[in-house]
Amino acid sequence: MSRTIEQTLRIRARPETVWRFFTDPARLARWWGTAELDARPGGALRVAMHEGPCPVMRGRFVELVPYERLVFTFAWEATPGAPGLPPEASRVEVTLTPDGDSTELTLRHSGLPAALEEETGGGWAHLFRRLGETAEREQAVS
Amino acid sequence: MSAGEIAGRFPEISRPAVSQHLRTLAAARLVEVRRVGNRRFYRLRPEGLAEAVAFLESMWSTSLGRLQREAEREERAHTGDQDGEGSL
Repeated sequence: MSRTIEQTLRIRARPETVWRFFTDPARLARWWGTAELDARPGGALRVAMHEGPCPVMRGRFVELVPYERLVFTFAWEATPGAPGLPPEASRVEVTLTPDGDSTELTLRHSGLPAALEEETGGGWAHLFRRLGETAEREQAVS
Repeated sequence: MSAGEIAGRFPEISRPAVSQHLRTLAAARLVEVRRVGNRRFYRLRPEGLAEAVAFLESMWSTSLGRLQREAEREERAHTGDQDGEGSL
């Protein structure tokens, strides 16, 4: 069981311009957070946000079709005070569609856990399994 | 449920790893901790996940709003240069 966040907006700029805001760290910092990234399939993406509990996003690029489509995995580093478990199974798909001199941007963030089972069910097992997977991945990366 | 009871249900996970998991889940507000004497009891907070999704929704909406403004500003500067209007 999982759920998806979907947001669409129309930007008065060409897809080429919008694209750079996802692949250039200096531009990404202007809207999301301090970024380190390697914009190639399999390349890492780390974004440190500046708001609220200052969560840090850690992911990996999965697919890059220049000016059209970009997919990356999305997980939170464990941050005290930031809500949410590391949803390492989650992924973000961004599509850019030209529309006159504008771009329609659609962002789909999928694979978010929808609900926890009760204590007696698999709730604890589910959470622990996810945390175990994240820990292994972090060790593999570092 | 006490930390000991929880650990007992996951024999394949070491005790330190269980404690680490519980700390992470408490920090993410997915579990609630209650202290009785020197023992700690844990309870799942199913509503924690809804809060996590709400947090992401608001994060995307705020961030994409900034992306829109920044991209439009850059586009205007670019077309300005091309038209020789010299916009700042």
